[in-house]
Amino acid sequence: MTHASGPLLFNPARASFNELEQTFVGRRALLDQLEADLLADAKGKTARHWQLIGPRGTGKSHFTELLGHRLRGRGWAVVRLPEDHYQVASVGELLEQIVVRLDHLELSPFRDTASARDVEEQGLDYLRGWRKQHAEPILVILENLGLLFERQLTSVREQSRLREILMRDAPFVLLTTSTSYLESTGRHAAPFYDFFHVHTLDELSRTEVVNLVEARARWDQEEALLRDYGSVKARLDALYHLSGGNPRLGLALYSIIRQGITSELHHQLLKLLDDVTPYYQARLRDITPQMERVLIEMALAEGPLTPSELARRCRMATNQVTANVTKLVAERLVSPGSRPDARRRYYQVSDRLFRIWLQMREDTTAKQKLKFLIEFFQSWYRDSIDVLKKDVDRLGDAFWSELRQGLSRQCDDRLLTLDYMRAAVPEYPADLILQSLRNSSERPTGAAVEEQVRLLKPLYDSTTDPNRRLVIGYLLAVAHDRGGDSRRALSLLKELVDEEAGVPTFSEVWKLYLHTLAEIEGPKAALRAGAKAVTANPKLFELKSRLACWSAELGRAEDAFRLAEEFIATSTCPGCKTRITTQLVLSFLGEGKVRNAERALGLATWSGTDRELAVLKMLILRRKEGEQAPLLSDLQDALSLYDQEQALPYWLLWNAACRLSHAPSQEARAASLLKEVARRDGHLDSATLSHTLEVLIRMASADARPLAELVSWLVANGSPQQIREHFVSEMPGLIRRTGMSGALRLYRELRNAGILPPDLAPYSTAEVVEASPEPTKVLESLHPEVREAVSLLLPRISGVEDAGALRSTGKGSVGAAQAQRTPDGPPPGARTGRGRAARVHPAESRRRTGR
Amino acid sequence: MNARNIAGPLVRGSDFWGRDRDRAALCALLDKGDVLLNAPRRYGKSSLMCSLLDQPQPAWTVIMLDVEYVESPAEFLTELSAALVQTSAIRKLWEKTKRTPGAFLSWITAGIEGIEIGAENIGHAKLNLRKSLAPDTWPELTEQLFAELSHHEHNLLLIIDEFPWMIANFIDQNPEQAVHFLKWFRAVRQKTRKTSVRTLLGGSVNLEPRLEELGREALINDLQRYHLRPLSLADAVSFVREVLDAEGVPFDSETPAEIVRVADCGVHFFLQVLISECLAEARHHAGSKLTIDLVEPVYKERVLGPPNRSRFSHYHTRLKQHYGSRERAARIVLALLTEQERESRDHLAEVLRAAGEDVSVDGVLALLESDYYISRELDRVAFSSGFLRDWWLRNVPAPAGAR
Repeated sequence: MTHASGPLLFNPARASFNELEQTFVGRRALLDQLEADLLADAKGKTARHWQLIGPRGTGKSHFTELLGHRLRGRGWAVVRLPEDHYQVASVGELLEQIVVRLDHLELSPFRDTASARDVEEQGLDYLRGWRKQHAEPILVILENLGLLFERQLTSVREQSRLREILMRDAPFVLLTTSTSYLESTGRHAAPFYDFFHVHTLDELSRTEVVNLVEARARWDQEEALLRDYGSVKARLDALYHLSGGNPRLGLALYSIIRQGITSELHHQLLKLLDDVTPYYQARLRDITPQMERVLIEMALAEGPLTPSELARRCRMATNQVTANVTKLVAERLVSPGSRPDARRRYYQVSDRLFRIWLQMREDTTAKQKLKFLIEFFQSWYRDSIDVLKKDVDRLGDAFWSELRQGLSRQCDDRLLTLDYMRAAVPEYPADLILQSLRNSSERPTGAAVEEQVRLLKPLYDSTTDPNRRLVIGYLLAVAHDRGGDSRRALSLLKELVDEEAGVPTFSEVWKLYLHTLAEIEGPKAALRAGAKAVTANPKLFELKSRLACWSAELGRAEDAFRLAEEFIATSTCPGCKTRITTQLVLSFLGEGKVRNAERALGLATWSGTDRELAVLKMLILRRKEGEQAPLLSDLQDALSLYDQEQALPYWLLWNAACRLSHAPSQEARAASLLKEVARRDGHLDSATLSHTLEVLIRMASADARPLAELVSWLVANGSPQQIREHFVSEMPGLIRRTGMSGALRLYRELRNAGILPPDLAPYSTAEVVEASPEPTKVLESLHPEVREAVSLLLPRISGVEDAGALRSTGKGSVGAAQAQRTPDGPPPGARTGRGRAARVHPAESRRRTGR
Repeated sequence: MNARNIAGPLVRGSDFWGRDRDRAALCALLDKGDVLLNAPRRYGKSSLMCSLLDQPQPAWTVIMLDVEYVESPAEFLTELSAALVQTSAIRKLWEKTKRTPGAFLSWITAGIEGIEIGAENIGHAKLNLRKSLAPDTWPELTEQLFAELSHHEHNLLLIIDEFPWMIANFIDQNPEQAVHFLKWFRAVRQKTRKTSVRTLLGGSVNLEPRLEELGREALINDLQRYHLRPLSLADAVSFVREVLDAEGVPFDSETPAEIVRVADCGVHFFLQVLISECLAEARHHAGSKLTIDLVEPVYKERVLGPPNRSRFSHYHTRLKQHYGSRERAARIVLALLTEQERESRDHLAEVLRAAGEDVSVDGVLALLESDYYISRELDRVAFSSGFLRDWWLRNVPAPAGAR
């Protein structure tokens, strides 16, 4: 079991001694030294008091807490005062707070004393008495010395008195912390001038950051991480680059190594920045406006700057900037930067957290996205696109899981984090993020598609950020589409592509839009809209691959080749070039244009497998020899080139599944291929469902044994509504086309499975007719339209034995069209009664070509 | 046990090192009368005074109090009395004579009655004393206090640290009362001169300019002055070696001499700041050995540079605060001394004239010398230490007309 507290939430005051010891890195020598000094001082006459200086997050609290634990173990009493010092406005009250905490009192023993100066004396008596009684040295830990001296104990008298108490025969040793050198200890005339023995906590070195992460991982019992720590070390450079040696930031980023990229990171950093705001505001109040101007420019810069570059950016004279930089260095707000050019001086904001805070304050876009996080992601994923892909998939899964639980805020956070990743790694196509979300195994499927719409809709309506709105809108459109509401999907997609200006280009959104448009308004409309889009936005060049296929299917061969060539010339992905070649070959073959198919095969260097190329060539060759369509035996030959279905390229898998679903006696193989299609898609889409219904009716007609098994599979993978709608709309066409008599049996199977209602016409009517003693008479008595429908279901009774004669034949028929379903979409006319069967989602198409 | 490197805070016991000559000289002066010990902060003045408390001369009773926070003569009386009653010899003396009539004894007896005086209840006694102190009775009571102290069978040394600060507080609150106190205090000193009571007044600020402003510098004329001097360079090397030994960090045998050579002074504090930075560097980066080649870079980068800038910046700012019309002249003199290690008084006068400064060069030099900026040997003027010269060169721009 791992320890519960996360490192970003690490609060030294709540940590155990063991945790403090085991996660303490980089300051051990100093801690040992200070412990030894305190023990030595306690035995001698010199009483030193201490000041630990380090910027926010450098581990001062960890240091003092651990020291406190160690000293308790050596018989000391340790008192830690609250950091805000609200109850302390005088030395008397400071002593009172020490007394109360030393003896864990609920009430101050001096609560009836009106004068703070009298409390001074009472407090000293109490503490001296305590020392005499217990003989234990007392260590008082006082954090934020600056706050105490500069806001609470401001008068010279109070400071002088405290100094006097501490200087000789002090009843306790004071260990203070501060984030910088203080005027109250640095001004010569101040009572505490150079009074404390100072130690500074510098930032950790690169090695120490590595050690810190390792120590933390050991404490958190991250066995998996530690087993592979060698490879983690390589990536810690990114962590060091961003956190510098600031332990708190380092630990914040360690959570990424531990848990991967999480959306909490953004919020936790924002909270951290909120917490430090008053402190940083105060720091800015202490410097002149010119110094502030220079400082902000440094914070916003991409790296260390020279004074001359700063002067240019600030529109100030170089000597003015140099003077201000010198002052900022003296204030420890700025330090010389590390740049290889040794001849020139570079400077940067020394406190990383301060830099992030300034960025957030000054840069309006940074309020939405922390530049720091983007920079971190850039370093983190440099040369690790695979890791990025894995993280994106994980976040996609988390998104859906949280959406199902109604955690919309968390969903929004996931999308924000994905947006960071997209902004940080431009070479990672934004579309892959959409694909990852769409293909997540956590995404609700089957019956839950309606639920998906119900959950996504309010999220979409409430999101104002254009990037996230685009992503959620896309997912909603996919859900509408899968739920069978393609018109709603189209309307939403139109809204998204119209809104897209100003946000990153997502080709995926356009692809889905064009396919839906093609389905509803025809490929010509899609081609028109697509051509306009790629002309207006060159980043959408990926659409050209689909446009080329549509052109081929519409008989515009030259347009098809032009678009394909443009795509091939622009794309840098060899696999994509091979894919468009395949798609175009299939599109031309679907139209019987064998020569064009052959020409298409030579468009780009083939980067696919030899077997895939052999399959394509085989199909072209058979057509060349005069076949109108590939024979079943050709497909069987093509399939036989592969040992396992899992190894089939998607386009061949799909092609074979479609063909075999129309072929007699091939039901079992067809069912197997369709299941593989659905497995690879991650869901059962409309086209696959249509083919499955055909296989089912064939099985029912042949009284094949695997019918019940396939029905169970269908029920498990499809939504009831989706199956019901497809059954109702497509079955009449299927019966006519196949001439099969198994529709009524299939109806009964699906009714018994709870998918179809018991009174579904004309099936329920057919059952009545079938069960009557004189079915022919009953059939005759029906209304002619009803009679026709029932007749098709009861061919033996009605005598309509040749229902298959009604089936369409030739080019453009449903069966042919479906078989020609290309990876990127259907040929013209390839639509079922509901017009959806042959349409393929853009991402499905990519997968269907084996990507 | 060797002296540890404690740069800044008060050191006592074995950490107090190398001030035997100062102790002896101070004691010799105290035999003759009261002393004003003046030195800048961090020069070891309080540590030296503490050594007189911790290791008093035979047959001396020593009381020490820090009065920087004291704001009125009445408070001073209370603090002094409370400090005294903690000394058993004094307490016994007062218990013996408590039936003797006198306002002071009545007041003190009532204050401590029923209290078994010790460190853990002196506060209680102070509260009683404060409450029972009638307004404006402090002169009478304090006079009686000193009269009582003269009956003490041993020598009694009252060390009053940060005395000038207390007087500055009085002046800020009520200048007339401050003058009244100083007059009265001088009178008390004159009365006790022939007794065994001595006062050693310590201070890190120069009281004289404030009194000059009031035209009352004569009120402390009777005090003997003692100025703390830096260690000789040879003693400084021994001191550094002993400190490094105590710190337990290995070092080259030449490192102590190198530290003194680089700092070019024998001021404990300056040396200890350099030692401290060198130790930090050695522990952090250089495998824990303080090698000779580490010293100069650390001196230039850290001691003279930003990390310690604020520690020494008062040398720069106090000219502005306290030198008034002589500020620019002082800056010109110091800027010249950064270029030329030693300059003649006449040449400096010439430069000031050429720069349009109508001030007395001797006045400026006297001020700079009393504030430890410079030292004079006959006609030759130089920075008081090589360290200060380096710091000035690095951190303070020369005023226009200095060259």
